[in-house]
Parts: sequence; C-alpha cells; structure tokens
Amino acid sequence: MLRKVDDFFNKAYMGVSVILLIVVIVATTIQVFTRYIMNASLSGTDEVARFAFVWMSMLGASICVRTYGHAVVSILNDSLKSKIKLQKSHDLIIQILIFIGAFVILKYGFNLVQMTAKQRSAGLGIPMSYTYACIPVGALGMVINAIANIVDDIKMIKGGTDK
Amino acid sequence: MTYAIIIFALLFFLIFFGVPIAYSIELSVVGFLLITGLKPMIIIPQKMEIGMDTFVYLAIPLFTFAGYLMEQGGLSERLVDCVEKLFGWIPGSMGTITIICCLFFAALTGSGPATVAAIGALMIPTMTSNGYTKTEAAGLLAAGGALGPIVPPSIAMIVYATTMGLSVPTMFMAAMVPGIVLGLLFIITNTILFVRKGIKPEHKHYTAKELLHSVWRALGVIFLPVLVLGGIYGGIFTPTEAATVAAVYALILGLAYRQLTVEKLINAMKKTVTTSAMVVFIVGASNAFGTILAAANIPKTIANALLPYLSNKVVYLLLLVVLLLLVGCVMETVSSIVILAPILIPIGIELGLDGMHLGILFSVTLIVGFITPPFGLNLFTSAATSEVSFAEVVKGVAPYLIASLIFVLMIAFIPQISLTLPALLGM
Amino acid sequence: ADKTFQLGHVNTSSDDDQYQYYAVTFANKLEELSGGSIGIDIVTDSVLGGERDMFEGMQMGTVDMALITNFSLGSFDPEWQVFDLPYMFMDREEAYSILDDEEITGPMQENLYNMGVKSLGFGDGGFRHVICNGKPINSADDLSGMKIRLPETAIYVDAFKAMGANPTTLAFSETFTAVQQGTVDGLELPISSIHSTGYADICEYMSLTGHFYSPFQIQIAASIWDTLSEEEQGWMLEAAKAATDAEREFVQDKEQEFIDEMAANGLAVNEVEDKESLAEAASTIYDDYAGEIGQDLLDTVKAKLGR
Ligand code: NA
Ligand code: NA
Repeated sequence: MLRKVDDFFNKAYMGVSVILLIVVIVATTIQVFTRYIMNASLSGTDEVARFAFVWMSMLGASICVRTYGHAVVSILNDSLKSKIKLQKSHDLIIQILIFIGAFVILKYGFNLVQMTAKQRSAGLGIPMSYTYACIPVGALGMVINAIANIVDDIKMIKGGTDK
Repeated sequence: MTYAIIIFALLFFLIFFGVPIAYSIELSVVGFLLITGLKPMIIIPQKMEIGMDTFVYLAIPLFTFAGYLMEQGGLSERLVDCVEKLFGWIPGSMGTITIICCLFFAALTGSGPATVAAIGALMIPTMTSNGYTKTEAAGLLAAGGALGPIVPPSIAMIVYATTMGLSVPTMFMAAMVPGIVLGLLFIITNTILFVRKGIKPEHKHYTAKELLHSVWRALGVIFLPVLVLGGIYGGIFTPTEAATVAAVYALILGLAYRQLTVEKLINAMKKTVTTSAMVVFIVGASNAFGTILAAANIPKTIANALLPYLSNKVVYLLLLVVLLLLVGCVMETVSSIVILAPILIPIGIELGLDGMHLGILFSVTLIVGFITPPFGLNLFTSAATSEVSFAEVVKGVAPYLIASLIFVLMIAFIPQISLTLPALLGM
Repeated sequence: ADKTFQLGHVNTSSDDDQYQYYAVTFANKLEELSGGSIGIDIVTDSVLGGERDMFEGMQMGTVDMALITNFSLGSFDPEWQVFDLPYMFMDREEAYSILDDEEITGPMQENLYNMGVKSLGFGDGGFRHVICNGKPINSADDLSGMKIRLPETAIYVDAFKAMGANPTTLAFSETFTAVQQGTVDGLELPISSIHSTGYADICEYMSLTGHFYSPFQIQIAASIWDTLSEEEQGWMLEAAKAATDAEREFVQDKEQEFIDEMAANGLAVNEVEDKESLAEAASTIYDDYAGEIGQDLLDTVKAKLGR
C-alpha cells in the first residue's frame, strides 16, 4: 500500500519534472530567438524559465531521496558493509533525520505559501505563492520517500533476508 | 564565536555521520535556530526558494542535459573515435585520449559530473581493454572530470564572477590557460604511470581516408564549442542562454545522426532532472545556511580571527589554498563560493593581489576539491559510472590528486598563468 | 547599545554610494538621539537578501530593517507603482513635493504598516537614464528598435515598449557581458549605479533621459516597531528625517561629480533634446496601470503636479 502510494508520487513527480525541463528549454530558446532573430523580445520568458526550473529542482530533489541520489559522504555506511543489520540501522537514523529536515521545510514552506498569496511576481504578475508552492510540494514528496525508506530499513532489520 | 562553533559542529557531525549534504546543511540551520532562537524557522524555506530562483543557475540543468544528450545521441562516441584514430599510437594513449576528450567535452559543458558520465560510458571499457585496471580507469576519469568546470564555460566561474562582480568572459579567458596546463599535467601523470607498467600500446595503422572519414563523422560535434563560445563572444546570447543552445544543438545533431530515440531522449531528461536537482537543492540549502551565517555575523568573526595571520601575500595564499582544499572536501563548490569568497577575497585584494588571479585560484582550488575525498561529486559519479567502490576510485585518483596540488600551487604563485591571456586580448 | 538592529541594503559599502550614505547618516543620528541605546548594524551587498526577500523578511520577522527601492514595492502593494510611471516627475522638486505630501504618502505608508512593514522615510535614488552603444538618444525616434536591458518589472518594460524600444529582461549578473558583447545595445540605471558598476567603461553614450524617478524607503518590521517605546519611535522618525534631508543634498552633488568624472574618461553625456516625444509616447501606459494603482490616487498626484 505504502509502496504503491510512493511509486505513484515518484512517477508523477518525474513526469511533471520532465515536462518542466522542456518548458525551461523552450522558454530560454524563445528568449534568444525573439531578441536576436525577430528583434522584438517577448517579455516574461525568463520568469517562466525560472518558475519551471525551481519546480523541477524541488520535485527532482524529492525523487533523489527514494533513489538515494543525494550526494553523501558514505565512509561510515561503507565501513558497515559486512554487518547488514547495523548498516540498515545506521541508514534508519539518517532517513529519520531526512524526514525531520523535510518536515520542517514542509511545515514552514506551507506557512510561506499562505503569506505570499497576495504578492505578485514582478514580470508576469502571477501570485508569488504559485512559485513558493514548489517548496512544500517538493518537501511532501521527500517526507513520503523518507517514510518509504524507513519502512524498508525496518523490514530489513527485523530479519528480512531479501537483499 | 559560540555561534560559529555550534553551526559548524552540527554541519560537520551530520556530514560525516552520512546524512546527505543538502540535508546536513539544512538540519544544521534547523538545529542552530532551535538552540539560539536567532530567527524564525520560516527563513529556511524562503531562503531555499530564493537561492534556487536565480536565472544563471538554469545553466546547471541545461549543460547537464547537453552532456547526457551527447552520450545518448552517440555524439561522444564520434568524438572518441576521431581522437582515438588520430592519437592511438602514443604510449598510454587511451588515458591521454580520455583526458583530451574530457578537455574537449569540458569546453562544452560547465559540469564535472556530466563530463565524467558522458566520457566515462565510452572510455571505461576502452581503457580496461587496453591494459588499465578498473581502479586506474575510474581514478583517471574522475580527475579528467575536474577539467569540466575549469575549462570555460564553467558554472563555478559564472557563480564566482556574479558574486564578486567580475566579468564572466574575462574570467573564462583567464581560466583557459590554467585548464590546458592541468590537462597537460594529467597527461604527463598518466604517461608516467603507464610507461612504468611496461605495456606497449597496440600499433594500428589507419589510412588517410579512414582518418579523414572519422574527422568528418565528428565534424558536427567539433562545431559545438565553436557555436557556444562564438555565440557568447559574438553577442548573440548570454552564457546561460548558451547552455540552451548547446542542449538544442546536441538534440538536433543526435536526431540528425539517427541515434537518438525517443526512449533515449526521455532517459537523458530523467537523468538531467535528478542530477541537476541534487546540485540545485544543495544550492538552495546553502543559501539558507549563508543567510544565517551573515545574520549571526559569523563570517566577520572568522575573518577577524584569521586576520592577524594573513599579513603577507605568501602566508595569505598558502592559508587560502589550505582552507579552500579543506572546504572543497566537505562542501559543494557553488555554495562555498557564495559563502566564502566575499569574506576571504577582499583581504587578498587589500594585500595588493589581483582580483581576477584570486578568482581563478579560488575556483580551481575548490574544483580540485571535486576529486578530494571524502566529499567529491566526481568521485561519486565516477564510482557510479565505472561500477567500482568509492574507496577504489580514491585509490585510482591519488596520483592525479598530487598533480592537482602541484597545479594549485602553480596557479597561486605564478599569476601570469591566469592573467596573460586576458591581458593580451585587452580584456 | 541596549538594542541593535540589522539594516540591510543591496548596494555597496562605498562612501560614494547613496544608499550607504543614507544608512550611515541614519545610524549616526539615531545613536546620537538615543544616547547610544539603539545601535544599527549596516549589512550591505544583498548579504541579507535582495529587496524582495528583505521585504518578505520584514513581514515574517526575519529581517529587522531595510532600504527598499520603490519598484520592488509594486509586487506587494500595486499603488506604489504610481511613482514608477515613466515621466511622472520631470524634476526633483516635483518628486519631493509629492513624496513629502502626507495627504498622498501617509495613507500609502499606512497600507504598508498593515502588511507588516513600517515606512520611516524616503531617500532619493535619483532619476534613471539610458547608457548605451551605437548612438545617443535625443528623441523617441532614436530609441526606436534599440535593445535595452530592463529589470524584470512589468511597468518598466511596458514603458520602454511604449517608447518604441526593444526591451529585454536579462538578469543583472548577465547584463555586463551582454552589453560588452553587443547582445544588447544598452541599459538604464540611476547615475550613481552607472558609475559604481563600471558601465561607463563599456558604453559610448549616456543620455540623460530621466524616464523613471527612483525613490527608496527606510523600513522596519512592524513587529519590531510595535515593541519600541513612543520615545524610541520618535528618535527613529527623526533620524530618518535627518537622513532624508542630508541624502537629498548628497545625491545631487554626487551625481554631478560622477557625470564630470565619467565624461572626463570619455563617456559622451548628453541632455535629451526632445524629451517631450519620449514623455508623450510613454504616457500611453498610464491608462493601463490606472486600475491597479487606483484612478483616484493617479488623478490626485497628477492634479497636484498641475497635469
Ligand atoms: Na567547462
Ligand atoms: Na572534495
């Protein structure tokens, strides 16, 4: 059940991220094209590109929690390689810390979105909360992925031998 | 000083305990705010978003995407084939070729990990079939990747120039000679290692027609750096926009060569999303960290504590190099620049050192940090690409690390390496 | 000092800089008035953040005080855009007369207070002028088709479109390269910024177009303001008033000094012959912004200026 929810989140986040990457490329291409080739700039392309970029980054960063894709100094974990249960316990503590970190971002990111609902972006005049929403939405994915990792770790520690 | 000790103790503990770097940075801020109550916690998400929401950082996913497209679209393979046919007869040539490919690729992307991933996929098998062990190959590849951010264009240098108010093109020009010098040092190191192993290179003979054919096949790829650098210097686009041009060009070329399928394209996009998100998320967390440092006056405190020791140029340069190598060990380059350059560089300028020289020294020293354990993005990427353990990559990279340290000292004490080319061009 | 507040701004810590001058004058006067009980710690170079995030910071209670340029306020409270309209003020006297008019700015400052930010006073950021390569600007015809870099502020971009230019919104960090390599023909900034950012070295012409006036405010988080005694509040307001008076003189002297210096170093500086043509073309956007700003406010300001 948890795994299904988690898979769904990661697939959705990845799908949206890929679309956002396309938006970044198209927006910046249009910026060069209209300025240099058509000699008339389309305004707002840089704001669109940055909007897509921050969203892509937060969604992508949440996927990295599940795939263990975040950069890490793994000396301690590597040294525990021969003791699977100890290694998993160590990872369990790390995943709990990630959960706490992500939860702080989620909670206060949500407050931030509420606070900036009336504020408009400088170029296109869209509510700033639309941009800031990437923070709690990304953090939500991080929280879910950290929980999924925690559950996996606990299963392994409890004597799972499937690895 | 208590503030400084609290936040750095938390940061180092979390990093070495094995918490991912981005979360280590964020959690040290969370812990610091819980202990001191200096600012409300909402500053963390706000500064994270603002740290990421910066136009020049668009170059990170775009250059990374260009790198993956070159790998997936078979462009890297054409380049490698061309270089192999031209230089295959030299002792240790496969290693030399890898370094040359990295140099070439470095001119296209600003990203070390992208260089490692793109060249590694092709050169690891080629090297291991030519007498290299996997450890040697992985170490060499990680080192070659350090050329990525040194040879222009470079994300680290865009960030540095932006932070310290230098001109980006001048800085790129200043980095050109240092990049080539480091490439040569790596080639020398590789040749010495290979000759000492006593393996003779294979002697393949190619006809002029074969050689010309392979150059012809690679011609489209060779045009990419001309397009990127020519576009920036020709006033068509900005360095960030150049990253888009590189990605779009690599896409078109990959499609034209009929090697880029929809599946490969989506694969490249997915890799781009996670690779760049990892880096950008560190940038965001670092912005929160940096703001808290500033609000707690920590940079000034540290600078004041160091000041008595920084009274002459030689001591200053040596301390700067040592400090940055240590920082490069544990921190990501972009955040190190944003946090530390404004504190450390004004002291050097006060001592009469050149701002551009210091900028190049600062950037290359941090980039050497990419290949210094325990924290080095290139080491992680190379371990992943070559399918060897982190410890083995570290063993393989050691000789190149020594070459890099000699290089850093050269840059520190021979400013002409950095300053002559821009001066000749009147920049 | 019993209380110390951090005052952030986005300019440099140079003695020549008007924001820094304002901050220093304010800090000194406040120290004097309070007998040293309130200290100000000035934080320059955007180290506390850009203007958008410092304003948000004051609302959230993470930033104590800041100098905020008028064009950053429009995102939070659109009525401030009335001062961002092109050629709203033709000279400094017009600008000062409106900004010092409590009937106009009083209620606007009250609105900011309700948003969590107390405005203490106005500084003079100067008029913005075009600096470019290719040709000087003497009329709307000259500006036609020129690629001018603008900050990402809709009203600024629309004004330049109306004046016939091809406005392009680049990040400021990419603009120097873009001007140097000819990606854009030029940009527009206040004189002191043109001087401090080195654009005079890479541009041929500075035309004194004076298209936008750029006031800035000294602001404090309302959450802090409310904890101050009435006496302390009085000191703050008095120090701000003193800083405003001193800085208005300072900026005019400095601008002349900068123009002379840049001209001596080879920058061609010109008064704009047909400023009317620019003002007339630009005024077409007034109606577009009347709704956001408020027709009443716009009409009142225009009436007071005799337009
Ligand atoms: Na590069
Ligand atoms: Na390192």
